Amino acid sequence: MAIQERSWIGRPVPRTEDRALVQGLGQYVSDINFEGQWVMALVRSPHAHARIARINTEAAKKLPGVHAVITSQEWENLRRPLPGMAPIAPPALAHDRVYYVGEPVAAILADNRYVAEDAAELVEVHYEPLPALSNAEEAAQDQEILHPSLGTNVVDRVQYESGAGRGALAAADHVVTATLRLGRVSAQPMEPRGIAAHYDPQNQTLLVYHATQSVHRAQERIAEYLGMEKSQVRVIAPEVGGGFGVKNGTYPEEALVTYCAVHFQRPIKWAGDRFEEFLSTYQEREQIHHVELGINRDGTLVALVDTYYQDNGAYPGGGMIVSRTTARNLPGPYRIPHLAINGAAVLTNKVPQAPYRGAGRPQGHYIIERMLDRAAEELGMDRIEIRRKNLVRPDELPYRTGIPDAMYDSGDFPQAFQDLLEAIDLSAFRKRQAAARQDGIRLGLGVANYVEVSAGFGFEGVRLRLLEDGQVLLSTGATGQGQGHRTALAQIAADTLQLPLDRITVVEGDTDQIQKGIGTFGSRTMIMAGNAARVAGEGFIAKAKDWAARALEAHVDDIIFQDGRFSVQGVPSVSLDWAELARKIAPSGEMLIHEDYFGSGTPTYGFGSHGMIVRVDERTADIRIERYVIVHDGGTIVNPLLANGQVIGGTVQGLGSALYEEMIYSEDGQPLTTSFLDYRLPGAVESPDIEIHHRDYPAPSNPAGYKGVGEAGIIPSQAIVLSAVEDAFQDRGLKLDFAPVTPGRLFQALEEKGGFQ
Amino acid sequence: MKPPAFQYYQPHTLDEALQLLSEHGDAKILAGGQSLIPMMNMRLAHPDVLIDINGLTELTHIKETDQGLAIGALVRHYQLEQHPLIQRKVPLVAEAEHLIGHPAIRSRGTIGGSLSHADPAAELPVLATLFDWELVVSSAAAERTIPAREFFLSYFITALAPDEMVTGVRTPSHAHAGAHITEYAVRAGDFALAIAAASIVLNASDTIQSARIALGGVADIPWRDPDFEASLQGQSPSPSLWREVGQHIKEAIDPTDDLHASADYRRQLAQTLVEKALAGALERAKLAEMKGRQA
Repeated sequence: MAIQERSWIGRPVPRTEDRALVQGLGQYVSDINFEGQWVMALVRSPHAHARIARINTEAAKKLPGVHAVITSQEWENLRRPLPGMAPIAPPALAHDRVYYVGEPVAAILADNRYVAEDAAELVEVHYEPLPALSNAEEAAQDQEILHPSLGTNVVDRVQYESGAGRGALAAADHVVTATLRLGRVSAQPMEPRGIAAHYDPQNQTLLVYHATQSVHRAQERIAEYLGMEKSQVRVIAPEVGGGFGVKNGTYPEEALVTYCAVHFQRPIKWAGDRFEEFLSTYQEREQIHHVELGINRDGTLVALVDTYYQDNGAYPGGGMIVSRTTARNLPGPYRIPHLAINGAAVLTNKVPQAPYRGAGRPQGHYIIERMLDRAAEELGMDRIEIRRKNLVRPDELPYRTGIPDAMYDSGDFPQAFQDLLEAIDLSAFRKRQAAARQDGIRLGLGVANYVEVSAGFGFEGVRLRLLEDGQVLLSTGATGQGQGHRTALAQIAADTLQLPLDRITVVEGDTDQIQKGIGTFGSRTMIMAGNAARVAGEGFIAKAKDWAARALEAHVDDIIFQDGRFSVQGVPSVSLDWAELARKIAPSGEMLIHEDYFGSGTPTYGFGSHGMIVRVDERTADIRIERYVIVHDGGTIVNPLLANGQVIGGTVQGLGSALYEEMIYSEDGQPLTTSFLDYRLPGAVESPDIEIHHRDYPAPSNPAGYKGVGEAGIIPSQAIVLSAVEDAFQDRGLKLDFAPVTPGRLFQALEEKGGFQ
Repeated sequence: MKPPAFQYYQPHTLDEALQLLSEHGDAKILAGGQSLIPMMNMRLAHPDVLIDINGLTELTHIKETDQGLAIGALVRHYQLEQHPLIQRKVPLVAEAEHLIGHPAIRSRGTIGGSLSHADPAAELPVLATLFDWELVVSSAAAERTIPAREFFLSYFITALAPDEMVTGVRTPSHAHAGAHITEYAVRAGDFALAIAAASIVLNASDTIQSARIALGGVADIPWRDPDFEASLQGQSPSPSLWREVGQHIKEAIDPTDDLHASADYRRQLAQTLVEKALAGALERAKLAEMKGRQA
């Protein structure tokens, strides 16, 4: 049997975690209950911007079952800025001003959540409302500055220029201009945020159960805020029900729960609810772009000039990563010799921004793909043709986009696009589209190409331990949130250690199980932890050979490891497997453990092409997806089932932000879509069957060739949906410049073109 | 999202329930709980007392009467969807149920709850208005019936007195044969942006003997205009007539802007759906007439 056939890599192994999860046996933060715990509920600001005149907590404190009502008026310690957010961070509880609806103002500790919410209603906060900033472009003018210590509302600027920059527009045959916008979206993981903490006064240690994407970063923040050593703080992420980026940063609730647990020497738990998920969990996507695209008569791209404003909400959150990643994604997979990019992340009176699945990748691609459609129209060129002409060719790889450190390194972009068009059968579609239009049915085709940049910084680690029964325990700091790491990392380790899959148990997200870690976000885990599993596996085998040498009374250099067994060179009849080795080690009282790390500063570049066909009802403005096809490169694929799950999940989530989902705020900063009644996630009925064709070009920048796959699906979603709907009304000259294109917005856009005819 | 404290009663008979209702000023009836419980969890509703009527088997009947059916207030959506009497006598009710929420909602929600909640974008109030259902309403002191068109007063406001509850519905079965309901909702199971339901009875000469049209989601109560309906009597049904009707209704309604649809968009939806509902109703009316002749 060839080695390759025996490999676990590339096998569609069903998720080992599912048996427990589908039976409802998963333990999430809200399932963790400490003896004698108090639960926390928060009084949140109902104003987008207001001065706090005074707070009266007397009535709340008197309610039976309430143990404490905490404000930073009384607790000066809680006015300190939270760790891990720069250049300005919020306090745990607002004391003189509130900056967004949902900002915590007082914390209630009570026997249970019912009583705590009753008490929250009894807290009287006297606010003096202030004018709210709800438009990023206006806020960037600094007529009124939210945080005087910053001196400006522009919390971050990103500027890139390549070639002749803006000057190159003059040399282009045409300059196409547009203002394009993206609405605000909310990630809404199935499990809301939550945290529970237990302080042991005797040992002065704090145990924290945390719905987080990064236990080690949480440990660092908590230790810093409480003035404890990291070694005193253990953070465990139990099952986490989705993260999508928003369970990864600094939040007031983390500081409040841990601070109170230490102060009161009582276990404290906060399990956020759906309403709080809308009011306080960081949001994303909201940007406005003013774009100029220089293009030659033959369709060749000359220059892209983009000035944009990101509505970052009241605090930085992690929003700066989003606006910077947006800039880096603006060229997409296209050759653009001259770039001038100027982005601003602007503070307003809304919930802060943080990276949400895609985190700038969808925004950047939305701009270039929309502009290609506009350019094609301007030139009277086919939308397909203009893309073909400008896609980076394989002979140009490695290709520098003009943005520092961005270098596409592998694959064949034009071939993927060609394969997509063949899968869709473009010419047959165009015929069908024309025939359908005769019958009053509007069909539209959307296409988009993308590059998925992943990882490219830091490290991740894996620790392997041989248990007494010969099983191997694999721990990593790359805390999963449902991705299936326990299956995929076990597959990688099983290959290296030549063990059956079920002999490897993966433990994610426990700071006691591995010293260092960064976490799971930005599609980095297979690249970083996956390679670390290989590196650690090799070191583990080397240490195992030492033990085998002792057991087999041979020199370690003569020990060979083959087919999962250790033997002495030339004496194949005497050998030990992992279980036998474990039994040999046991009497010594020692343990076979190896911890190793993989670091890389070079990102990976997956890529692909999406195509979709929509059917639009002109009278109801209803958009139905008839077909969705993806050609996807994700490098070396560890588990096609998991990779497909990531691509399909991302695509459906993207369809949400392209068709349904929008956090709508009033002009005075009131969020208007704060339940699933008004904030519409796509459901099963709305999700099309998605055809995926894999193209697996290994990443040259890491030994295993892994690339990110978590964001591939969501990157082109907004671009492709708007493109497809426009195509359905190509004869009417429909132009869409806002994502999502909800039925209400499409109706409006059609009205501007004369309405239903 | 936890409700404030409330007193909870679980009466075993209707009389007991009505007695409790008369004794407590701020009491709410708990049936399927599909609207009340979320409102309490969001603290938009703070009832002092909940009277849980789920144990009242006397409100679970579906019975044939001289005019049509008598349906107990506690009959659940899924029963309206599946019960043979409903499917035979008032088939449009069974059909409309497919448009209501999701199976989980339909397994709990009740006809009495849906009508009492009086959401103008819900399907059952539209059908109640279209077919002139009578709502049987009881208090500890008396029982009365309220015609549907007098029951709905505004958004979530009905003609129920504080000590009254809906105990049942009388629905005539005539005019169901040539009826159709259609709506537009953004996602499957969403509240519709607009609903149109129509029923047509034809004369022997294939002209319109009577036509009814009701809409949901376009006003504070289900919309219907019997005078306009009367103007259709004697006319020959045709696509161009439906277009005229659609146009008329588009101008006659006065919807408001909200988060998900502008007034203009709702007008266009209403117009489109009315045409579709009338065309669907006519097709069925013809079919019914043909079957009638054969029989």
